[in-house]
Amino acid sequence: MAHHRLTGDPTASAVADQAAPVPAGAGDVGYYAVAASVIGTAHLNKGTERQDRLLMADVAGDLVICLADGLSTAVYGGLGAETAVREAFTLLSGCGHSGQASSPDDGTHPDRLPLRVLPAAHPAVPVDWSTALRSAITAARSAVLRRGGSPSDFNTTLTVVVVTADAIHVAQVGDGFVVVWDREASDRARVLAHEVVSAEDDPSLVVPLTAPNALASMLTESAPLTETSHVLVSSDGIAPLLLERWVPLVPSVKFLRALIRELDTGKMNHAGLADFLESTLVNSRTDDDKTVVLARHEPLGAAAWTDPSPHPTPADVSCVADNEPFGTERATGLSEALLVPPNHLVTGVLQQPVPDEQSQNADSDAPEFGSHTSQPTPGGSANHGRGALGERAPHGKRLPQAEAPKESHLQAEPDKDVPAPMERQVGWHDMSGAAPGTAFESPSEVATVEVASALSRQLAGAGGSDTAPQPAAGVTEPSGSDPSIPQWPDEELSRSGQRPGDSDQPSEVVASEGGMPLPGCDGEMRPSGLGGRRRREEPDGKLRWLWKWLTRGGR
Amino acid sequence: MPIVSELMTEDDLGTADPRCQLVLLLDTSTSMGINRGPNLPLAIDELNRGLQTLHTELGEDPVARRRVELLVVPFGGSVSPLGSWQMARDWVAPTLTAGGGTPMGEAVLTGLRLATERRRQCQADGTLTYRPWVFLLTDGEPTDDVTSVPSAIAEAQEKKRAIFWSVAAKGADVRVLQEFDPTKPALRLDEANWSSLFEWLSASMTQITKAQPDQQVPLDPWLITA
Repeated sequence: MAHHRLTGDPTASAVADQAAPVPAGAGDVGYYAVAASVIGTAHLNKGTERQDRLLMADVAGDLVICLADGLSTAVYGGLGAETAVREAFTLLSGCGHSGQASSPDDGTHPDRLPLRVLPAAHPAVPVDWSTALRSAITAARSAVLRRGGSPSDFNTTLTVVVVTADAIHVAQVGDGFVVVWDREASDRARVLAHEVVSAEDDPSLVVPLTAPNALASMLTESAPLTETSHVLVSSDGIAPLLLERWVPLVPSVKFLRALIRELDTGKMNHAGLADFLESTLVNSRTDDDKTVVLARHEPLGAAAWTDPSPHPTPADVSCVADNEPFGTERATGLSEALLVPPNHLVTGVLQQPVPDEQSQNADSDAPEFGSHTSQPTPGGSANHGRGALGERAPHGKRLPQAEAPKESHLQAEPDKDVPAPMERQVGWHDMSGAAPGTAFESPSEVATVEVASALSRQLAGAGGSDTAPQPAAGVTEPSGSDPSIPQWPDEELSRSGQRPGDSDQPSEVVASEGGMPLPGCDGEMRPSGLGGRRRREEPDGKLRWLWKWLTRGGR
Repeated sequence: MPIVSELMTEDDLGTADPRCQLVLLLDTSTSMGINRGPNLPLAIDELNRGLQTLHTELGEDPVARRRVELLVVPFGGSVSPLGSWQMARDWVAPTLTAGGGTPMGEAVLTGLRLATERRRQCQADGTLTYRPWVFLLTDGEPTDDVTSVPSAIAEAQEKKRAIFWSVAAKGADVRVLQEFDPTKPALRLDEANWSSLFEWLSASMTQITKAQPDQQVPLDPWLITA
């Protein structure tokens, strides 16, 4: 299996600076992906915000996509969606990481470039993606439940997808769409992990992530990919365009072909896709939020790597205005992914302080927590997407405090009449001071441990070490569906969202630039991952990371 | 660079729009054509203007016009649907005339049956459907047997096959309408509210077609005053 890494636009000068040349040999495959998320006209008319949330990035050569659609009937559906994608993305971005992640830096705005994923120079850790995806959804559900208040206020769907070199893995709760088809035979398009749930004479019942039966209704599916495969991941907003039939699900071949046509000819980029989703043509068919990721799974050779012709230049996509208001109406492509580099924790949600660069450099393998000043994440809110780009510091550098972006949507109190969504407390998640053996109380942390434990086993199995770490004593690995998930309504969750032992001190959204690398990441990786050389990680270092990560409760 | 939206047409898109059926059971009995007083338009004329309003309002919503299916079933002497189901974008408001008795019972049973059949047909075609609306408007009292109507309405609503609404114009027997569906009040229509009634109906259908097919949509309660 070939592995991939994000290297940005092949025309970029930074490519020449890559530490290790990309060996695009026979059998190597890569991706060319565009993405956009736009607000629906119904929300525009009501003055409400986009409730779709998307995080997408290359993670050690695998394309990870987390998409959530906050239900319009939920008071804080957008917040629920944001919490879900961030939690899921945080977990998945640590899986199989080879320490070779980076983000493109060609001196242009990353939002304007398609995502280009190319074979990784180093083999990544084999991952049981099916298990990882299920665990990610489990953890995301717990995170949403922990927001407090009524779970139904944060109702959202969640679709998590990983596209590897030769397969696609999907898990979801809700009604997102993942379609795979071959450009040579698009009439064989398949919708993965989706079923129209029907009660008597009531089709299309959506089971939200916070429902008691959410995990039981979770669907997972994996499918092989060929060198001519295409992948579409979307929220249900484009369902009337995407489908010919609902029961059974039949994708519209003509629609897929039209998308392929534009993607394959290089005429579609993030902004072009967003424009399409905002067009009158589309809005005449749906008024819902619309989020689409379109990826071409293609063989890579030297020609594909060096030929710049399929890629738009910044001038070609000038419709992406840098000065667009910092809003939630639209987000395109890489903007969100690049603002959350895969080698960093998505601390905007986790509310965890991060070490500053100095301490990180002092002990790259074991950054300390709790003693460093938190900073807002430039563009750290997933829903702020493209709008955040105008405020993003060049090359991922931190913005001065005075220029810090607007308050994260997660921090904002949506309505004072309603209990504020729970902000996770530093003390609750910071397990750095806990000795091995400390029992985890948070369902999410147990779920996180489950992922980490699975990872550790695979690390050991992958030959990384014979001494794979074991979960801390006292930590019971969940069995079955997920006994750790609180019942709904969760009586432990107070209306204020506080748990016993939680601090009253509100947490901050902290900068992702200096975020804690995830297990398997190179601790010396430059904050933004831009250009430069990367230190190849040794297996022992990876295991040390994992152990430290475990003892912190997966944070 | 051309953007994708300029290169795609309606023909490139799928056609899986959900559908919501709306059956209009409209009283066209003789009483609808009776002069109700000086300077008061005939009820049948008000009704026709209301239908025009519905046509206009639905046609202005790009989503609703592709999702709402209408069927007009006038009952004045007999019960006979006007044509077949039409999408809102294709629907032309008919001009009704008054005459004959008020076979309300047969009209309601016919409306429930047609809505259920159409919905099943859509589902068989793989189309998602919202719960159909059966909307009764009358200014009189039934001239036929209505004993089976309450149970038919109750069954349809309990099994989520349809939602029944009744509107009583001036002169209608509200008590009978209330017996049809005790679960919610019969709506009263004031003289000046004909146009508003159909605006409300259009807005309600528009709202419904933008929800999940199974979602209960809170409707504007202005009319629910009875």
